[in-house]
Amino acid sequence: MPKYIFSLIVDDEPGVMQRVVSIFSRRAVNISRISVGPSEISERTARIILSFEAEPRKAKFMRNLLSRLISVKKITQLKSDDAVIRELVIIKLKNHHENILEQIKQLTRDSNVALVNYVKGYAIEISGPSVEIDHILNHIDQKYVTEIVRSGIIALKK
Amino acid sequence: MNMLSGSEIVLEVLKSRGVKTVFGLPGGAIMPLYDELYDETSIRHILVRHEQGAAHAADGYARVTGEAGVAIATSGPGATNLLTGISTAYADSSPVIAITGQVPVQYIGKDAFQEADLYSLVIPITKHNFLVKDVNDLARIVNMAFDIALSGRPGPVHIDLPKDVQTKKATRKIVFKQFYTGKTPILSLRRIKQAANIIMKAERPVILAGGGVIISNAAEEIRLLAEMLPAPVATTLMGKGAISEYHPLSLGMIGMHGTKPANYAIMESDCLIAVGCRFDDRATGDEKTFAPKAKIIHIDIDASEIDKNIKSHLSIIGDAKEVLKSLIYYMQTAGLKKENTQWMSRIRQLNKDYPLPEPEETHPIKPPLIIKKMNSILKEDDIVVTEVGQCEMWTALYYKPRKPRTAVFSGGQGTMGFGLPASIGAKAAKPDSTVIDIAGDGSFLMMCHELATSVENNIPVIAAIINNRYLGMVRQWQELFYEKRYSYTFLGEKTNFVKLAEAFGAKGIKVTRCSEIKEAFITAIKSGETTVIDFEVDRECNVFPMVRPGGQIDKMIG
Repeated sequence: MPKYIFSLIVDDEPGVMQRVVSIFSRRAVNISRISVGPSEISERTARIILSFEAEPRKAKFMRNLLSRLISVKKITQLKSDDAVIRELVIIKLKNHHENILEQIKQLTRDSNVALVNYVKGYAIEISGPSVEIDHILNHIDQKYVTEIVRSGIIALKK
Repeated sequence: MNMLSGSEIVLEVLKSRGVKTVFGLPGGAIMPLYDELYDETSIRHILVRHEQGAAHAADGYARVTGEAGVAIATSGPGATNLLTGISTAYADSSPVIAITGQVPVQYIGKDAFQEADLYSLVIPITKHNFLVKDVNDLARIVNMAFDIALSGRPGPVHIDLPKDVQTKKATRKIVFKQFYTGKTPILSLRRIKQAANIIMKAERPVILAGGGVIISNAAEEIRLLAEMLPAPVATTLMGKGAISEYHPLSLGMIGMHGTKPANYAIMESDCLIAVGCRFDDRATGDEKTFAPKAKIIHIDIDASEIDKNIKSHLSIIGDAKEVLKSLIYYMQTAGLKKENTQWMSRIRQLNKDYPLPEPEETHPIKPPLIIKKMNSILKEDDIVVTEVGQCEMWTALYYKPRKPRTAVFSGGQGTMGFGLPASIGAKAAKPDSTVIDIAGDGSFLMMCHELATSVENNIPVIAAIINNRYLGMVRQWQELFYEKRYSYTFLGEKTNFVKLAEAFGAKGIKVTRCSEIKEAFITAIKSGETTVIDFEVDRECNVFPMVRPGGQIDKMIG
């Protein structure tokens, strides 16, 4: 099924996520990634970026249903060939190990990788396309890893 | 400056919006608002006996007027009792404003007495909802609630109003203005032209009028379009009243319990002009075989209805009245000259060959006869509301409204118990119209306590119970599809509806013979009292014609 990314400008108020999410849950469409943050448009609005898989007719239906919501001010559909799409992952390490950093750098083409020194040890922050992050996580040596956290995606029309 | 309290603000906004009647039932968390209502002389509060009745009554009020209907309840169970009514209004795009009390702001989320998370509960069944935490937002919110409920595709809006917000005084002056103008679609003239060209080329056009025609007050435009093409007009259940059913171009309702001429015409049509309808499964039957020869032009204000159930060839997003006006104007200027004699004679033939089954005057009474006799008594402004099930479908088939907003059904949800409270709402809005609730004995008992509301508030409605002692529609399906295994559909014979009516201070009339039907209606209308007519009918009479669920709509039983 094709993947879709919608960027929504919504009223930043309690329950707005529930409204958006229930449009999907009621039609048994799974939101694979979602992120929310303040929007630059005004203090009272937020931006939600969400992605899901659906047949084209269903995706159009979802878009129309979202546009019915009073809290949704604007919907933009982002296409992967015309948008910057980024996900952030933080890999907390058991101890600072050069091997894994090298390993990751070799797996990386379009992502930014940074080794960060937290108070209680080291971690690697990677921001990049989800596919590449999937690829990296599938290939790194798990023995150095304590915890992995991934954000939803954020995306912007080029 | 003398600032207003939350309760005063609510009433001020209601009054500024022209609200004259509200329906409700007080309780702890809404007492400050009720205290304010006590001295209010320009708003009539109708005390119901169960909050669901308030929601349905507000809904009935909204459907017959096109204005917002207001229902008020307390927090917790009072508010959850409204849910069925709100859901019913949502399914049929009815502008109901539901205001409920809530526990004081500082108690929210702490499982306080009579606290329920209404905010979450109503999200899927309202157009929008609010929880008011600051009295200074209240005027804006109540105004917005009206704008949202009434704009575009209408729908219910819920306002959750904590008790302390009702008593607090605003520190800012309240402003009356429109806060929300709706997401008005821009009419595509290109599409209007495309549609007009398809329609003008069509040889067998059919107009399908849905509830959107009623909502946008576009009945006149439907008639104009039908006469100029000429094209016959079928309606959905919600569209009943979109054209006078005494008009020669009227085909009646389509669908599972549609008329044969309506269903056949749709299946033969080469151009279906669908206005303000959502192609519900009960209307289309098997969607793959629906209107197979037709180019479907779907006109609706809600873009999410386009291609949801039936794929259209061309869609026009917009208000039905505006779209139809443009369409008619364009076709007139483009010099539409059509005789369409062949199609018209086919339609006349269909109407002649497949009239509705004529109910005979036998004993026991055949239910359709009741509706037919009622038709002959009612005036054009009189209103028929129904409960849900066989009583509803017999009414849909045999009741012939002349005007919009004179036929009220719970369509989308099919809510049993809707009819009596909705007819009270309708009568409160239109006291000069006779309002009849065509009920089944099963549905009627679900909200029969609202007889007290009708009697005590002097809102005299007539409940005509088609009493077959069964949950009739379920029994009919059991007969047809479950080998007559009548699993828990027989309701027993002891319930005495005349005594029930009398216990509530209403008039009760028992009718067992065909010859008494008309007289019973006339007596009830003349009495000006709340009246229950208990029609003892043929217990196993089925609603025909009928299409099997999911079947092709021209393959009809009966």
